[in-house]
Amino acid sequence: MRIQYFIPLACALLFGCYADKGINPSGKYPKTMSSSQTVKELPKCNASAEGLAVTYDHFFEKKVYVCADNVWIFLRDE
Amino acid sequence: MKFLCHLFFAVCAFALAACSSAPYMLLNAPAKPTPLDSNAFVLVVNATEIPVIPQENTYLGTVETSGSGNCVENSADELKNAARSVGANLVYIKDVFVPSSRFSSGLIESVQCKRARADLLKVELGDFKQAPMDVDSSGLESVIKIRDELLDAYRRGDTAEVSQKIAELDGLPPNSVRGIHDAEKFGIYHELKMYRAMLQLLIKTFKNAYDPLNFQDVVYAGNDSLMAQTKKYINKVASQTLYGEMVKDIANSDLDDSEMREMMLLLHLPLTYWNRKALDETKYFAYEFVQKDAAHPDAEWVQKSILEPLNRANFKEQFEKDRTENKETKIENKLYTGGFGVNVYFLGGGFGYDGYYREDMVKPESYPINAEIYLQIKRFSISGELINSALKGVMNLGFSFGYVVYDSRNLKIRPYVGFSGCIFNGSTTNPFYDSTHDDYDHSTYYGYPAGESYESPDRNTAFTLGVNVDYKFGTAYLFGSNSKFTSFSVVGKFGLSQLDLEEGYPVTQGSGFGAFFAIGLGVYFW
Repeated sequence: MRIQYFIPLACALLFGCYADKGINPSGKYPKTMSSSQTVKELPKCNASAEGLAVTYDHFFEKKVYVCADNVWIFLRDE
Repeated sequence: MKFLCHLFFAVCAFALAACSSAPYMLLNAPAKPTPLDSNAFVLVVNATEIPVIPQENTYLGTVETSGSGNCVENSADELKNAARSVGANLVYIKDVFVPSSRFSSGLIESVQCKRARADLLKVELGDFKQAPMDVDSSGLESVIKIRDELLDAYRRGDTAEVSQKIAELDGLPPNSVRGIHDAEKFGIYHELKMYRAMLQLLIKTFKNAYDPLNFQDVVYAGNDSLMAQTKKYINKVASQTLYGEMVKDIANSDLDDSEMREMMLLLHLPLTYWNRKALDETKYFAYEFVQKDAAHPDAEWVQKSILEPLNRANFKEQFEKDRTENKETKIENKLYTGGFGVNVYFLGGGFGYDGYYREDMVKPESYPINAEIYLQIKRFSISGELINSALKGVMNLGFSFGYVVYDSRNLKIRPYVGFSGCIFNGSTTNPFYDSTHDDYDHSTYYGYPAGESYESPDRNTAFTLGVNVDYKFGTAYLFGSNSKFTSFSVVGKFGLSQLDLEEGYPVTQGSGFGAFFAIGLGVYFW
């Protein structure tokens, strides 16, 4: 096999052949969704807080995070 | 990682133990020898004392003791063990030497022990275990009388009477005192220029060298005037000076060309194994005799008993010949015996269950190079491996147990079961805060910025059923060895894993199957 064909094939096999299907729980929340409150400390993110968006005031920065499947995910800068 | 380090060191320790040196190196041994019983009698002969082997013999290999912990006091046992292992009952030691250093298994090692090189032969031996005969000394007076008469005839130069008296002494019963030593006869024949009789004496002496009676302590009549007269011959049979003197005399004798050639060979024979120059000279005489006197009744004896062991005298030449001619046989015999291997995988892929990671948090990245080290003992193998699973970004890190179901010159198939921890590797796609909880359900949040590398803890697990397929495209001897090999292979790995990634929640999650493959290059020392 000529080297110019081998290298792309090798790259395809190496980087493109593995199963790569994740999930995106925060994808259903729009970037523009409104924040319900501004907090200095993040509250608990569990099933009951699912979909809650807060403005996190942290080290002079304010960022909006949404609780999605137990993780606070960044939505936008305030 | 700690576990893997321990596994790596354990495998290396096994490999080093497997590479320990053997007590001897064996060349040209039959592929499937018939070993002798561990108590079977093996005769050990030094070629400097007996420079011929029995005419009817089967050559079964050449051995050299390794010298590693086997100094000369142990060499005889090592040589006997080597002989028994190939079914030989004669160890014919052709060289004993002390190397200053040697190259062994890639290391220069200093060796002080004497080492021996010997041919291993299967021959028909007489009864060496028989009890020594009781000497009947009742006829001693008549022996002394004949010896006196022989001395008298010798001084007078009466060759006919000398021949008659020697025949009388040779004709004494085997259990009586030996009437005359071969060295005495040799001296008398030389002094009286009885070269034809001398030639017959030499032929008889060498042909009967393996008579068990010659290995017993024999009582000779002696300490008389005849012995004093011929004493210099007893002390100087293997002497370059004596040989030089005799060559001049024989050149002027009435021996024909054929007798002359045989005489030159047999006179030189006792000097053969003392040094390389003498060995080459004897080899030349033997070769000349066999070439020019092919129809001579002794030609076959010279060929088999003298020339063949001389042709095997160059150990290095034998070594190279053995390596070249027997390589395929040795490879075949070593299949399924085990070794130590390292495989590096460059290409891989697979498919598996969906939704195993949070794509809003991380982007999975596969590890570019995977590796496996393994130790094979007979058909069984144990491996330490870092192999990408079927899922992108998930690497299995653990060990596996394999079994070689098929091995050949070019192909090896080794199914295995593997037990691994799984590590997820990637980079963060979005800033996020993940939490941990203490015993009082207090949450502590750790923030991850975007674009950072992320590696999950290795508490996720995988159970794998797979198969290794090695295509051995090249096999060569390992360094200077004639028995150990290195194989270079294209290696493939295929399998099905049961993956459980729940421990990595929320970044990784779920459990399910993944089918994977990996292709790379491997090197195997065996």
